[in-house]
Amino acid sequence: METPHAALLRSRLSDDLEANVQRFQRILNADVNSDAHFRYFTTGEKRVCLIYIEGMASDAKVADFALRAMADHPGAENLETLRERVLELAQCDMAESVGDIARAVVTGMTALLMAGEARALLMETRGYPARQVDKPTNESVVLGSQEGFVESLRTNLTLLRRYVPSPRLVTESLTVGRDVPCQASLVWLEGVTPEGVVEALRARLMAVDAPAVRGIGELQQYIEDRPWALLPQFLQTERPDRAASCLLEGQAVVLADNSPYALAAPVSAFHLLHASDDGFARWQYGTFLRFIRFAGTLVSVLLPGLYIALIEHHAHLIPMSLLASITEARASVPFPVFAEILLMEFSFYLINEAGTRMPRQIGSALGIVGALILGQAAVSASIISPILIIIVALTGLGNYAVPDYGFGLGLILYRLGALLAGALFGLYGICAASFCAVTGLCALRSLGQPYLAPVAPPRPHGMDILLRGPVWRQGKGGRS
Amino acid sequence: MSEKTTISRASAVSGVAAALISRAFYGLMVEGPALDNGAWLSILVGLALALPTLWLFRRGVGRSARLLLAAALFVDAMKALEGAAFSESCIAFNHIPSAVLALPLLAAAARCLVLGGDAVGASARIWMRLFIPALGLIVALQWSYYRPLWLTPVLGHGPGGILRGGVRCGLWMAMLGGAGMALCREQVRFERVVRTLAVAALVTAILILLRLMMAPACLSGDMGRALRLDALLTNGRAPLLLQLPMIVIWFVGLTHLLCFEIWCAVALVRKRS
Amino acid sequence: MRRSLALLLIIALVLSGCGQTVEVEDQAYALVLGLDARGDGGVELTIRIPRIGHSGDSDSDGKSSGRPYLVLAAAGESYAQALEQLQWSAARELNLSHIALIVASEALASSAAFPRLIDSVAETRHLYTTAAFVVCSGRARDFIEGQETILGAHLSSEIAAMFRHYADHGYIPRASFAELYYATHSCYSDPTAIWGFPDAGELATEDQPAAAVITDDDARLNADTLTASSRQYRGAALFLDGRMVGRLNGSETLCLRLLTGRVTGFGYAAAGEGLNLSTLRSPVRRVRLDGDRVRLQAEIALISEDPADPAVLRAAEQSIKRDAEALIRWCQQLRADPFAFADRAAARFATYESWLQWNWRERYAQADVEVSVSIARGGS
Repeated sequence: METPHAALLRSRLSDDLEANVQRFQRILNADVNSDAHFRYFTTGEKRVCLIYIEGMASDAKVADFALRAMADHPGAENLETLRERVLELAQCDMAESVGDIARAVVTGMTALLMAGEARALLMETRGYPARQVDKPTNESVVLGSQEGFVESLRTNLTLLRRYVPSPRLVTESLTVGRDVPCQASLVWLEGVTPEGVVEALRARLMAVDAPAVRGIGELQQYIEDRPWALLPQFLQTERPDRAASCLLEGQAVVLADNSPYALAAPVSAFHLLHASDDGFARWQYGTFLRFIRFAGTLVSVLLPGLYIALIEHHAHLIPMSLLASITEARASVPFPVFAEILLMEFSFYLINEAGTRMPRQIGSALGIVGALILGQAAVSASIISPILIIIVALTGLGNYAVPDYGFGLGLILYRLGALLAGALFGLYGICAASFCAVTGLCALRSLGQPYLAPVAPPRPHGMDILLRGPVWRQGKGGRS
Repeated sequence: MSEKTTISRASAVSGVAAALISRAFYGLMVEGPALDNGAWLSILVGLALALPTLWLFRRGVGRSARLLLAAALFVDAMKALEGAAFSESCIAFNHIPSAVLALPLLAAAARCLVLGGDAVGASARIWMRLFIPALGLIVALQWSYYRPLWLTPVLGHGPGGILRGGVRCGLWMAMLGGAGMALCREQVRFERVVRTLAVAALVTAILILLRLMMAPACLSGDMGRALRLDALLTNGRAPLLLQLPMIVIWFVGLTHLLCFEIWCAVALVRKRS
Repeated sequence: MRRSLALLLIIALVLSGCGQTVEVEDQAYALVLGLDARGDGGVELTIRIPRIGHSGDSDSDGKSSGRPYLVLAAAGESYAQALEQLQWSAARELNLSHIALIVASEALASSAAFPRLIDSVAETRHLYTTAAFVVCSGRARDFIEGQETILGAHLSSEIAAMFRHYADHGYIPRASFAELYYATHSCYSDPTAIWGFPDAGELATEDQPAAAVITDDDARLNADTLTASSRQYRGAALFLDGRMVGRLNGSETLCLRLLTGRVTGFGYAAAGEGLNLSTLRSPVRRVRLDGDRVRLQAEIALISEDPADPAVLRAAEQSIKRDAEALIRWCQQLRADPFAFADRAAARFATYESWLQWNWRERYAQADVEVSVSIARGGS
């Protein structure tokens, strides 16, 4: 079934001004949409009509740089004259397709139609409200830039240009979404980003056949190698310095309008565990922090499963002094260990989710609720044992140490798998589950590149995987 | 389809090495009749016995040979599976039938068939990188318990026992090395094959020596597979906590062995040329 | 393929042991296992289980609530039968994986049935043989029942702490059940066990004081001592082919440990003076073959912590040398080799067969003994 006005959108302008205006009035539902404006004006002997959406286009720009300009310089005979001699706007392009013009108008541009012309001028008059560049909300660092991407694609591209002020930086515009187009940009560094990567990413973006793409997260799911995999195959960052670093390392970046995030690919699992300020700190501290982060990842995934495996099936591996403490603590707990862990994990995720959705005004109350009721009171009431609080807390901390949010979410699912494997088959189950997980990661690809490269398969690499070597040994800086 | 029946050179090297170390160690120290002090010599004899067979493989493996190799690998994989299930039964789940205990490994092997040989080999490479530091930690913690004098008499039960063990090791090496060569996507030089097997044999020999230094040979009667496994994992002389990394190394090694052998067996059958 | 995988995993889920697991707080963890011979040839087993919630001498309210341990015993015609009875008597799942001490009575350890019993214990599922091994005078059950908790010690670690303390002073060997098992079945040296005995006060009666009743040298030494525990550990039991064949007192055990390199510092009295000695380097033990004649050589190098009189040091050297040679000769008579001379002799042979054919035991019994002791003068 075709979308409404599909035929109109495919048509081209005629030289009849009124007919053209009527087309646009139908497309934009002018009889209902109160923000679609059609401003007639006469310049010299020619009648023109400006079409714009109030709020998306800046009234001041329309008035000052279009209407006043035409009023001050009457007598333009055609659109070419208007563009080159009258209109005082930085961007002013010709268009003939009704669809292109309509799509431009709804994004904030103003279309100028002239009687007798089968073309229109598209003037850059965007003036919709947008968030200012601010600190990133989800990727905090101690050292480094404090700027984050915003919803405006143009602003984001500008930020990237500032961090990579090189004429080799290419920003290719694309549109994704069949019915509701979304502006996107494919960004790469010429001479650094392999051509194969750019072509592959471009091809995937062009192949997106969705009616609408609602943001970068959704776009990622359309272009990933394996959308069914638990872990992301793109790096999602809201930091322009991180995106710039990806460009300098030979990755390509995708930005989309209305999304304060950038996607970078190809990435490996190691990229997703690196943080922005690893490079800012001295190499010793950077290496130390990476070890902490890797250890935190392992703790996050394996600790609950190991705990239940040891307690349930391999108690002889626990030193007697610790086992005695655990036994004493669990003596009054009515639930089996597995149920206890599931209860605590569920509570933790519930607190997590509630903390994300809760209004800020009552956000501080959540900490009190979580700590008192779900922690202290539960232990006092012998619903759970104290050691499990420590286990779950360490697990949560390990998860939050992962810089990439999507990667952290994937680890949660791996953790549940390890928990189940440990509960069912003890250490044997955890070994089998770990093997399956690692093998799966070895088979995973990001834009065709192995997910665990350069470790497996082995490839020459600089000192920037687990160890963060000195920067002068890493060979970065825009060289391919 | 070709990626599912072939393996890259790097993956083949890692996969063969990891599988061989697990197979030889399990076969010589737990599964078969006790070779005791002669076991580490058996692995070296096995390397010498396997090289002529592998020399024949270097020009390619015909269809009949591939099918025979596949059958041998499959049978050996089932032995590894049984060994893993038995180990788990000894360690924790003595009340569960071995067939049930084998299910997780069968699921892992089936997953490897889906993911392909490159994934299995890459996983083996990661395992080899983790295995060495883990072993180093165990050696460091057990250092004071080693008794080098228990390595003597050096020939153990004599040349006959060493040769018998060597024949078994040679079969495993020929099987795994031949599978790696037949399924490798790129051309493999024979020197590379020899080097891979030699390194794996050396690592296995070191593991055997370490194990022999932890518990002396039991000469009055056969210990049985359960006690031999117990002597390997718990030993009784070292702290019980050290059993944790030993168990992990043991099961992960057997898992790699099983999955690699099953993948090789299926790939050899499916390979067309 | 994915459906098959999922099906396999679901089957594994259903058939796995998840539902049959006994929770950790529902198990009884035995810390001590006792072995006694029954008069009719059967076996009696005794175990000591800490009560959950007891982490010291009193409960969490500070009130004395009875003994922190539970002692259970069961007998049977065989070890397996006795163990089954014990499982039943525990009234919950009995877990033997944390046993820290195995005690065997002297009568049982000396009997012909003990080697088979060693195998049975080693083959017990989930009984890991890292436990210390003690041979006690009297019944193991009485010995275990009388072992009191040492004040301030955590129940779970007191046994290890106690033996570490005794071993550091050199008067007991570091003996584990695993060492006993392996040495019994191997072709090398012979194992030892820790010797335990009740406190002198326990043996005294109204008519006879403790000093008159006890015959043990070490017990007599402790007769007038107020000890922290009613069970004393001092000395070693010697084993040969899985049976106890002799016993060493505390001084002899210290000498044994000097010869095997297991003691670092100790006190010694010579020429009326006390010395603080420590090991300068590991002792050297050699087995020399002169034709059919075997010579056992040992070199002990010590250092005096204090600047002692050289004459006293020479006297100490002679005294230690005499004690060491007497000890070796005593063990030769028993044909037990706890000094690891066999390990060194075996290195000269290529195969087990040739080593066993050489008949080490007889050659060891006839061997000449040479011990040299040197004490360097230390201190300022």
